[in-house]
Amino acid sequence: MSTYEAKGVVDDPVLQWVTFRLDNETYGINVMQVQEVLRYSEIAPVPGAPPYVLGIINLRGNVVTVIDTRLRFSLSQTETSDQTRIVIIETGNQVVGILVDAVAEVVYLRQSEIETTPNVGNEETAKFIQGVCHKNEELLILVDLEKMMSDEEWADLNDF
Amino acid sequence: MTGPGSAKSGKQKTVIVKAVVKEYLDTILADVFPEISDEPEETLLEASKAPEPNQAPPIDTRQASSDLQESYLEEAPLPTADAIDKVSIAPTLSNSAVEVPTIEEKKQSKVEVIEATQAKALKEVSDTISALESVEPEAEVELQYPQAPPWAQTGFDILLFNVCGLKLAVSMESLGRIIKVEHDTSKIIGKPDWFIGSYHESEQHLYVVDTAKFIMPEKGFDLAELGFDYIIQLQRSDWTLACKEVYKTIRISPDQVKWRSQKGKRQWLAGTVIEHMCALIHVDSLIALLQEQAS
Repeated sequence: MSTYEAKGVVDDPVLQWVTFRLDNETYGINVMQVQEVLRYSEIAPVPGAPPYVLGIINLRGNVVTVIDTRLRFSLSQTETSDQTRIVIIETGNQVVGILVDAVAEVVYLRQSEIETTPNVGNEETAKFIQGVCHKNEELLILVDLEKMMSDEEWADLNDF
Repeated sequence: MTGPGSAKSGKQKTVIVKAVVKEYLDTILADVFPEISDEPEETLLEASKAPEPNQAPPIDTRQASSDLQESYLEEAPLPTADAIDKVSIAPTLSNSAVEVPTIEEKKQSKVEVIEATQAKALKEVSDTISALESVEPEAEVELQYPQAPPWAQTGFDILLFNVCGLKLAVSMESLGRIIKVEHDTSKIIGKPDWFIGSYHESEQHLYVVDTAKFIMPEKGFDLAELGFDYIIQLQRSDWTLACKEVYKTIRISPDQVKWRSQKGKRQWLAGTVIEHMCALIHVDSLIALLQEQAS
């Protein structure tokens, strides 16, 4: 590798993103935060939980809270299908599941390919978006998982 | 074993001993000097001003009482008795008026009584000290599951039941009775919406809680409308949880539960039974919450 190419790698690193579908849009999350992807299984409701908590699942003896991603993203509710998946993510010191319509693929993006979104509007969901990217003639929305919930909400998830 | 703990324990023993001695001597003094302790000082002073005829001239009462105190203090060297004498005897006697023969006789008899009671008190104190010394300090028990209640440190039985499709669990240790509902409940006005009413069973009025409304109000269920077949008594309290179906009892170990702290928003929740993915109710906290919210 030439010095020029090496400098290019450092300045413009390549990142891997797991993409998933939600209400006909494609979203991406950093692959480093994804532990595994599960088929949809029964989610036990949690009494007294906030609406964005769908319930809990038993993941090899560990209780994992599953978040209603559609509700969190202010999208309409839909029935589950064969494509529905629970993506187990790790953020901070917590392991949670997010329910998505389908998991698509892992894509490689250079940092320079990621565009920032216009900082307009007051919608809660806008703060989840880390950036966007045009890949394979479609828009990929990159999600900052840690901003999906407030610190207090993340802390509350420990108690479910 | 010595150390800060044993020093603290020694201080506690000393405090207990002092308290025992003081209380005992207070009782004795009240018995021995009833006329002094019960009567106001003014009355005694008035009596001293009007001596009866044919009586010996009054002595210096201050000197007499001082003699009595000294003799008492010499023969009663207990520090606590000393303190008590100074506080309760001296001021009272110093103002009282008695005649020489009477006070000498009384002095003699009282000193004898005091000596006897002192000996008895000392024996009791020494017995107390021996008893305290013989008690071994409680060993600090390290809980294997610190977040779990004491009854859940080893295997325990739980009852699984169904409330509006939600499976709940409660420890058998915390259960009173499971009662099949066979008649209507009596409504009580002015109670929260989760309070279904009172159910009379075995000459006891039990309060029936709409478990769904209390535990998961966000779901919008109404057990009073949907109906319930069983009520589960929490410990031996008047509180019962209404439910549609009782499943079974199972035995689980503490590591089969994801325990939670009681500081959170849902204080009635002890944890989650992992195998059954159901909430385990913390009965003590639930009773406290019900009492608090019903009043």
